[in-house]
Amino acid sequence: MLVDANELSTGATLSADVCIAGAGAAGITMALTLQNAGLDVILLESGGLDDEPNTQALYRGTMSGIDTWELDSHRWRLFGGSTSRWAGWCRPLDASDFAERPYIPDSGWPITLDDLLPYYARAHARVELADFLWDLDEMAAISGRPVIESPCGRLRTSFFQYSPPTRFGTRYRAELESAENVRVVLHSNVRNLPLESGLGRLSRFECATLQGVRFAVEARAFVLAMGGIENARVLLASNDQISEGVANSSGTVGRYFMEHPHYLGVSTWVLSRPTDLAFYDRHSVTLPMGDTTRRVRIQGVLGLEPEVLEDEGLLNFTASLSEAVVGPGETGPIDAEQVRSMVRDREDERIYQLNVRAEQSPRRGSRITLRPDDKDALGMPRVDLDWQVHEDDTRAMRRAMELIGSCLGAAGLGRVWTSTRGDQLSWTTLPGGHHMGTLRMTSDPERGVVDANSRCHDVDNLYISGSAVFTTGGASNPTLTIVALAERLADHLVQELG
Amino acid sequence: MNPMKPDVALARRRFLQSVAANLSLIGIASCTDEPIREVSGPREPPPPEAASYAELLELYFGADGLADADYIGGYYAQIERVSSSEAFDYTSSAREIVDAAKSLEAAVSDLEDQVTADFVAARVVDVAGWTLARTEVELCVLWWLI
Repeated sequence: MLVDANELSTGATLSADVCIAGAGAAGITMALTLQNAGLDVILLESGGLDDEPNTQALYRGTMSGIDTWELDSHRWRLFGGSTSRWAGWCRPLDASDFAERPYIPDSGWPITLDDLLPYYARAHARVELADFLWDLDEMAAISGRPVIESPCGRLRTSFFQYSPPTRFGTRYRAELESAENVRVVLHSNVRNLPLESGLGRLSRFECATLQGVRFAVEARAFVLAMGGIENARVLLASNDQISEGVANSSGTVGRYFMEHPHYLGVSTWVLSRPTDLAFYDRHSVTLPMGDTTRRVRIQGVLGLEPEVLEDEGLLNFTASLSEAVVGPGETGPIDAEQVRSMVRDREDERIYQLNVRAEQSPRRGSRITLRPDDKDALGMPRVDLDWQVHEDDTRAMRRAMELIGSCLGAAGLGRVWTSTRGDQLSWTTLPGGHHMGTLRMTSDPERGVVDANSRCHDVDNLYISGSAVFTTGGASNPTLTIVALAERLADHLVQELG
Repeated sequence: MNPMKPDVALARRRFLQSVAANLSLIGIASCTDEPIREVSGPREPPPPEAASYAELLELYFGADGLADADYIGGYYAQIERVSSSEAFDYTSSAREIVDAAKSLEAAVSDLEDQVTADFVAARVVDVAGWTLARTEVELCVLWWLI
């Protein structure tokens, strides 16, 4: 059922087994799985079925750290959430992304890739990919296009798969609308999270619409699935019972904000030998899907083997290739042609740029804070985002690109130039529009916000779904992992409440 | 472009998009370590034995590559601020390979193998952002000395 909160009476109280705030990839996934298990679900969505400027403006905030996209320009406040705009990049996190890495402070998820694998398979179906197939050899065989081999043993090729992309609001609207045990309540904004008297359980979501309707939702379990910034914002803003906000005894709510720093074109690769690089172009392959098949677009990317990242103390990354024209002076004082002419047995004239999408180390000082004197139309304090990338990260990326250059050189495939200054990478840091880490998943309640089941350490019946719980961000776009974690949390709630 | 965003957001997004579209230009503006404007020859004459490697280097780099090898070798020597004798010492590994070879052709082949081995072992040198094999940088420096 689909209802509009503006049609509710002020003072109304709705109730359900589970109330989910946020109808994006995470919220819709959870609602679908929970309703299939027979639980009664209320799914709250701030927006309507289409873009609404006044609703979108609720996202506005300021930035005091690295410039990123405006806060109201890369998350979308409507039914379907940011899947209404996403590009469909999918790739699971690597096993090593979950591990505690001594050289990355505060790394280490309390779950492993194995814990998530069954849910990644289900996530594949949600985002309309084929069967879960991430083995490089299998994929390369299906693709029929070769991957780069290097005798260095350090170079890794992996790949992305592309969702059509699935617009969750469009794709799953009918299913949710017809479900008897799901109520999608549009134009519902969670404003406050009052706790029961013992402060260990949430009593209700207090909600409001932009037209002034105030209502509440009671449930056996509550889920915040509003995005990496909004989830933290409402927890911090719910501070009338506990000044630090809800679920914040660790003091980490809003901290450890992570992005995927993008260094597009940071390295130039002068190819010196005719080489088939078609696997690294976006191309379609026919993949198995149950008893049938599905056409899926894939694209190869370069990186380094996990053992190399560990040995060298590097962060994860992927680098896609794009053919480029590089003129004199564009690779600093030594031109690409000068280097090419030095390479023996050169035969090729192509030049590629490496477009890096990197992991960043989680840092406590990279955070969002509330701006109490700057409130939105609902009276909620807006946020300031202070996104920080530590210089150790760019130093590590510089070394990573040097190793990529050595691997391509070892393969007899030319030379690589990287924009550097001293031991640092020197390039424009662009955001990916991925908001992660502000409600991190840890086993230790003093170091994070949610446990391995995405339940808030401090609040028994409050759960977080989405990239806010990412302990580290890996080098994969987050949506597939968001959906997998949502499936896992939904299963957990079915067990808990079923 | 989303029609609902305010003007400020639009302007910012346009800026970021223009950044993405012009990355190479923006990157270059901040890419080097105090770049050397002009590469000049060695201040002092090289050790006399350096000249004995000239024929080998001409064979290795080919006529088309010599000027570029000279520039790259000179650039590296200047950015490292090494004297001619220090530069010559720097080239000892490459010279050992050449000295041990039975012919110029064999030396070239051995040097090619060593360049590959350097890359395999990540024995590389950053020259103005280029990741080059240590051996090929030595050869460039040696040619610059000559």
